[in-house]
Amino acid sequence: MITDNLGLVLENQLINLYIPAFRSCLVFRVRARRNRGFEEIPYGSIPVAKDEVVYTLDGGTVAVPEDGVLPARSYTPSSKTLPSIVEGVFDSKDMFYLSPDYRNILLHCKYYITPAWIRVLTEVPAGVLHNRFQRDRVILDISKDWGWKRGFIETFHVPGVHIGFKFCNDLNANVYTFIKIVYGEYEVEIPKDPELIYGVIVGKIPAYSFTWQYITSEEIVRSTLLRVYGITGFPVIFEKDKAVKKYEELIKNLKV
Amino acid sequence: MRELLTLFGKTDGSSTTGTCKLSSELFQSPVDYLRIPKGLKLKLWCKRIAGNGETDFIIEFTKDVTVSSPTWTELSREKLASKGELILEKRRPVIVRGITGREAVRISWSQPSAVNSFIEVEVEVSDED
Repeated sequence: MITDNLGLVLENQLINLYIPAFRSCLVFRVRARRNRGFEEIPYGSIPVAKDEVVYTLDGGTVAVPEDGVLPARSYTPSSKTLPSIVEGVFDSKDMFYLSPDYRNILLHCKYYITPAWIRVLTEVPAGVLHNRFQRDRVILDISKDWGWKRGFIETFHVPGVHIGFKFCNDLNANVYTFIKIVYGEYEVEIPKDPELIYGVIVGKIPAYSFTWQYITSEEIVRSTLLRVYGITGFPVIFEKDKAVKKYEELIKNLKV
Repeated sequence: MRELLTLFGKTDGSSTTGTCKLSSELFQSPVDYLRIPKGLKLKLWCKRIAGNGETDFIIEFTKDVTVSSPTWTELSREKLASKGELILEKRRPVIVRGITGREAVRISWSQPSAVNSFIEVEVEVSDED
């Protein structure tokens, strides 16, 4: 068993975080769950404030009528991070942002949104959309017909990277909103055995596999991953000998 | 994905026909109709009606609510025969699909004489069958 009944990865299990932009994987072992038994956060409403201007699906803009209310057929602007509901975090405007020094911490978050028809997508880093069609010919935003989820989204918060959210209410009623967050604060290490890493990447060794919503490369993310982990991931190579040799080289650069 | 909500509507007490303003604890303000998001379904599971006299509540549907004069088609009708209440728990819901994203549903009323009547509808918004 890799996950518990909350869908969070159990201690001593492996995570295979695939990064499409780099065609690579970050492989982690969960050494400990630092918030074991305290995984649920009744976060509150979508972070929109009264009189804030949001866009409408029918063109134009509209003012938010009340804190936390997403107007009828509207969507939020880019770069919206989730402000912290507690004091003392690294960044009060982004609750799950971690300093790059926290390289042995990985946050695994599941966002449950009420009402469940609300569209949601993530931006990695905040402000950058990654939903593309036919390579880069079409960039899909939350106002388009696809390229988002409804009512739920999951992601991993890597230290040093701000993750943004866009929300859209395509019903014709102003709605009160709510987000419940289920998260795991994992204390992680990157395994140093290249054969184990190869086994995880090709699916021979069980792991919690997740594709990060990061499709096109951004220099800020690339440099942050190098600063935090020393690598941008282990490239996906199917020839075992070639892969193991490459992973052996990369393991020498690891910082965690 | 599915979300359950209770819609509430009422007659205005002075007109024999009209369209209910629909409210819900999730809605910040009432609406005249519900426009169904593309790809989703509205399932109307249960109706509770109360009133001071004979009232027909009619669920109506339009294929395109964005035109200047939408054509509303009757989909379901419930009659409160006289003063009292009527609770209709359906084993199968009335289903309305959002195929283009322009479809909408509303609830109107018809009475022989104007009285106050009320309707609650349990609605499921879902992308599942």
